[in-house]
Amino acid sequence: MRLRLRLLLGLLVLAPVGALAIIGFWVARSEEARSAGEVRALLERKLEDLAVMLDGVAAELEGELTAATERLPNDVEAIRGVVRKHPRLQRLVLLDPTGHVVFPPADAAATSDDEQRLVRDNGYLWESGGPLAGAGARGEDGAAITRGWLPAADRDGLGLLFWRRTPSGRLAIVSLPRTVVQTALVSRLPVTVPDRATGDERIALFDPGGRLVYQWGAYSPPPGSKPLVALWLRPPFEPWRLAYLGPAPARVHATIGIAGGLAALALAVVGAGLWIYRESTRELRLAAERVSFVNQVSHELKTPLTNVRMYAELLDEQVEDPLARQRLSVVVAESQRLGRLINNILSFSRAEKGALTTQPAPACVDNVVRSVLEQFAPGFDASGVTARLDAGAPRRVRVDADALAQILGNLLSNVEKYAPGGGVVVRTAAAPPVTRITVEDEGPGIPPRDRERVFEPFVRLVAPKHEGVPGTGIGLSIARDLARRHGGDLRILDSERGARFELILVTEEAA
Amino acid sequence: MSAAVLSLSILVGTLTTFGPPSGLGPDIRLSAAMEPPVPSEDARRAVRLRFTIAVTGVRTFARRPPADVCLAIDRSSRVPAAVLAAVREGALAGFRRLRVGDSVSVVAYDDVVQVAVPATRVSDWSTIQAGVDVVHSGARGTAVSAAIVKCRAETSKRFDSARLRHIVVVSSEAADVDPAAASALGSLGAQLRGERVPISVIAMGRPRADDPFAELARQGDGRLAFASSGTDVRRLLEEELVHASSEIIARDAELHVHGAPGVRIVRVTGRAAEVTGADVVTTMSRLEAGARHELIVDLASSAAGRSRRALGDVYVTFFDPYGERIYHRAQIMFVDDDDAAPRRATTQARAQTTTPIRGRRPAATAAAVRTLPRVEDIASRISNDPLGGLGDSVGH
Repeated sequence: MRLRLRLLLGLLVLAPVGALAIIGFWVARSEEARSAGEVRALLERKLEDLAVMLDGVAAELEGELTAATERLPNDVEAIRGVVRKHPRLQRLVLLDPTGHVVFPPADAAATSDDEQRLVRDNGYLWESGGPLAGAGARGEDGAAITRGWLPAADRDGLGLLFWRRTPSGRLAIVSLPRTVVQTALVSRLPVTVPDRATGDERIALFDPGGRLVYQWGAYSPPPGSKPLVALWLRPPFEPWRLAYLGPAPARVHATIGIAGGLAALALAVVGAGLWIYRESTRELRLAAERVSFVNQVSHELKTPLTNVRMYAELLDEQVEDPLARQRLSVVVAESQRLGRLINNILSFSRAEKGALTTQPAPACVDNVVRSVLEQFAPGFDASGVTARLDAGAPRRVRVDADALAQILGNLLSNVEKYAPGGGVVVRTAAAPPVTRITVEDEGPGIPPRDRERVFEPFVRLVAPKHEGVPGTGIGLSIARDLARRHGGDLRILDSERGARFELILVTEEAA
Repeated sequence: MSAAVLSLSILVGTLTTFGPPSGLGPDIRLSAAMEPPVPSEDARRAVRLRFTIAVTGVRTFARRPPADVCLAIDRSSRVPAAVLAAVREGALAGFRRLRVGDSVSVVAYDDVVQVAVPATRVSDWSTIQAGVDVVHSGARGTAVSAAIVKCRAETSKRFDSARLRHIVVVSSEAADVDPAAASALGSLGAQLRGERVPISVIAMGRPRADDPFAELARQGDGRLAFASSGTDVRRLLEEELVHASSEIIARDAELHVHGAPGVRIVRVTGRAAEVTGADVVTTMSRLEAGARHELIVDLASSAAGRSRRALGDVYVTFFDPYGERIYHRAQIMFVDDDDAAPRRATTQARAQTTTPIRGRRPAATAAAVRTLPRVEDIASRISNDPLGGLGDSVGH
């Protein structure tokens, strides 16, 4: 009973706590996802700011190259002189308004290998159908687009190509190798200053080939770390990528908060559960106290009862009058019943204390059964119960005869109370080292659903026809406890009619 | 070598407004030598020309523009702590040799770049020393190219083109962070050479084939040294910083070699150079006392049967140490003499130093160069008066 109650109360505590835990962690995860999203947005904004800053590099390069190509001379050698002096114009292609390449000159003997390669690799741009052919493209407003950027491959990777149409109609194209672009970008990015923490972060720049070309920040990512956020730069640097590496966002805090809240809630629920448990077990405790009281009283009653029974039996031997003997037999029977009741109370008390034991000793099971049946004979006569013994365990075995008598007494007592007017058959069978005893009556029987419950202390099945039948509800509980102490068990078997108990005892053969 | 060598001396002092009296200053000597031809399919038509620009003499007049020097230190875990300590010592020793008005910066790098000392005047010694002292061993990576880029930024803070800029890289043996390839580092060096920022490299370890730092120094117009110990590093670094801040006789020098018609440039070695058709141009960001730069040009001539023919001409231009005003030029002509005994070619030349051309922009000086006679003109005169006419034709 207590176990079930405890399980029920545990369930009552665990179920809401578990449900709240699930909800809490779901909320926590949602919160963490939201927080991670906010962190991600924050980091993206940080990278966006850097990207905006790097836009200035494009503007700066564009301004520088526009100025450098503003007044290019017409003479090839003069152009070469300008190119030689201007670091940014090292790879220049100049076309006249008709689309012919003016510089580098067409004469292979007057051009370097790099210049020839530059014209060869990028000729598609200004040749027929190319993006820079003819008058060029126009913007949405219809105005001619006079400058722009294009990606351009070079030996070191993917660089940039700046083009512009001069007011005189010439087309100037300047190729910037990847190294130059990288230098311009890295120059603008922050450095790691040793005596000033740059935050627990690491930001890296990857070139169009995916190679790490620059990074800064105090955070040292473990090998194989993946960026929390990555951002492609904006045109004309779109093949370049910024990546943010850092420790994972602080999701632990939300979980800890939720876990703390749940722990507090669990404590509250457990406290409430304990209070409910305490209240609900009050009756049990009171019953236990009553049992304890009865136990003490029983001890006090046992000695005088024994005397009453002994003197009644002695008197029965001396009295001749049949009516007197009948009355004495009632005294003996009632004193025996009272004795069983007292034994049950005392056994229950010992079982509660874990002190219930059995003391096997050589005895004949059939004799014990027969003796118990004889004790019940007056009662059975009064109740109209016909008892029969099918004896099958005549050998002496090691058995606690008192325990066996107490078990049988409880079973037969129930027959006397609940199956009057019927028959009861007791069968014994020895199959060393086990002795099997069945008690089968012709009473109303026990429904299958209650066959375990009736072995719980203080459980009495409620039936209208049995109202007023005296009993404590501990007899079957004591009987099963004793059987188990004896290495066996007591259970209810299916039967066509009435109740059928099977008692199994481990009974070693007596030496 | 069977070549006759003609040297051209330019007395800087006579042409500058700040130099010592004429004849007392160092000489910038341009030597041109014809060497035995390199093996080729047509050895008779191949010739190797070796050009040397050397600054001789000792300059007693201490003066130069202020310099912005940046030191990039590899602080990766590949560098032993003792070597890193030697680098710090060498850096401080070298910085002490700089002058008031100079500025230094220190960039330390592993897988990230730290500016240990932002561009700081050498007079602010405590800042420099404190910055250098915090350079300690870091992670395993070596972001050398990013460090160079940041050094470039530090040396550009003054926005003054008259100041000298120089980057010195002290690196472990190999760099594993972009750019890993020698060509990429070379491209970066070439870019900075174009911006007149020479890069010198002190690499720890031994030279190896396709060493990325060799290419970086070559393209970056700097010097390259290999150190095998901390003591070496300290010494070499101090020397390099002293060199970076030493007196310069000229800056932004350019050596132009122009092949005559029918002459093909086969190969250029010795220095990074731009080859355009039959033109070869190499640049030297600075010429200081004791400097010596060599350019080797292998030519193949299709012209045959002439007794004397022009192979080409060469001229050198440079600016005074302050990068403005003074512009110099000289010109030498080579004549291959087929009449001589087998493989006894001679080189003859006439040279003429010109009146300084004053201008504030390179474009102006480039325009002035164009007024020089081209070798085709010279060759035509040679046919009539091989030696006599040349001197008259140059310098107008």
